Amino acid sequence: MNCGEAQQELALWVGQDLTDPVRIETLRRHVAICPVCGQRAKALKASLVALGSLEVPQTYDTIDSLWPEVEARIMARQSQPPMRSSLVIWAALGLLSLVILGGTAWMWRTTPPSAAPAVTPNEPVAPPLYPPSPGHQSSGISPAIP
Amino acid sequence: MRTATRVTPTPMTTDQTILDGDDRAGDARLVEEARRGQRDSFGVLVRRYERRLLRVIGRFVRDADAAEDLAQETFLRVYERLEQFDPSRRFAPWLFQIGVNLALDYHRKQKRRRKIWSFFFSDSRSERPLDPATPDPRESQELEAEVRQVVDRIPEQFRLVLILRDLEGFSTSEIAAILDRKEATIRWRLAEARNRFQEFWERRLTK
Ligand SMILES: [Zn+2]
Repeated sequence: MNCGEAQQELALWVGQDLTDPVRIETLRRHVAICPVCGQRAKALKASLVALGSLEVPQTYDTIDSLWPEVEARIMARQSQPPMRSSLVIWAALGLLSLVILGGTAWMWRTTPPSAAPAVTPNEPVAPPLYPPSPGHQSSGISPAIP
Repeated sequence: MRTATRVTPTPMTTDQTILDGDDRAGDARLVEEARRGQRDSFGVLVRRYERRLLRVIGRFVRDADAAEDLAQETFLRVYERLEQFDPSRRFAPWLFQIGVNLALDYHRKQKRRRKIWSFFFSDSRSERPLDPATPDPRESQELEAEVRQVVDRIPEQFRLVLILRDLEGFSTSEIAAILDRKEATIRWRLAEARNRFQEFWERRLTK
């Protein structure tokens, strides 16, 4: 093993993260006789010790579990309709009100100001100005030509 | 309202793993029960992993209240996504993956906020004011601050592996499962992270 090969694996070796026992033994022997790699291994180990001085974050007592709060939040979310279906309901309501508003506005615009009653079947209606073309399908409002 | 009480940290040896042992089979059963609507089974999973999850989140988020909120959010997301969980995968790495991602997002946002703050104001605030009645803990705080500064200089993809392996004691295969990467990638990143940390740590002395 040369220094280049050794130095590629030193960082894993100092943290005992090499798995191949043959490789570990070869590296150990090299580090023992090579001052350069020996020094590098020492420096890596010292830096890991410094790293380990980082304080452990505050942790929590075993009795006071997060579960009661997590469970309460799960239950709260389950009691509401899911976001997606409530969105669909609101979208449908919005669309419906638009249709009603639009329909009302259209009716109001097309109704003459004298407020003549809507066409009823028994009422005599003036014939259309132009008879419909032969292929034309009669609409519901225009009376059929006899 | 919070019910959790802060206590002194529990020591954790580096060879402890989260996935080995009988828990894996137990986790799978509990997940299945929770999916069928047995909420208490999910409660068992929460109690099983909450302290470890809080510890890991606490490595990225120093504010204890924020860490607790993020841990709760992690469990909620996991619960909501139980149907999407692939039972051929292990539960714990999936849980920690969601937790680590939430913590990293939070950490990035805080970092951005701090940058903006320090751009407009000189940042002379200390995170927690010192109590004059207690002995001055500034020496150990200074060392810790130095280590933290050096760790923060390491790019995130390496820093993450360094924290999970050398501070939290996860094995490289566990980290591979948490980060959804090949173990060889994690080992390469770990070596790179340790080399960079050592280099920055020594360079700070020659400054
Ligand atoms: Zn050498």
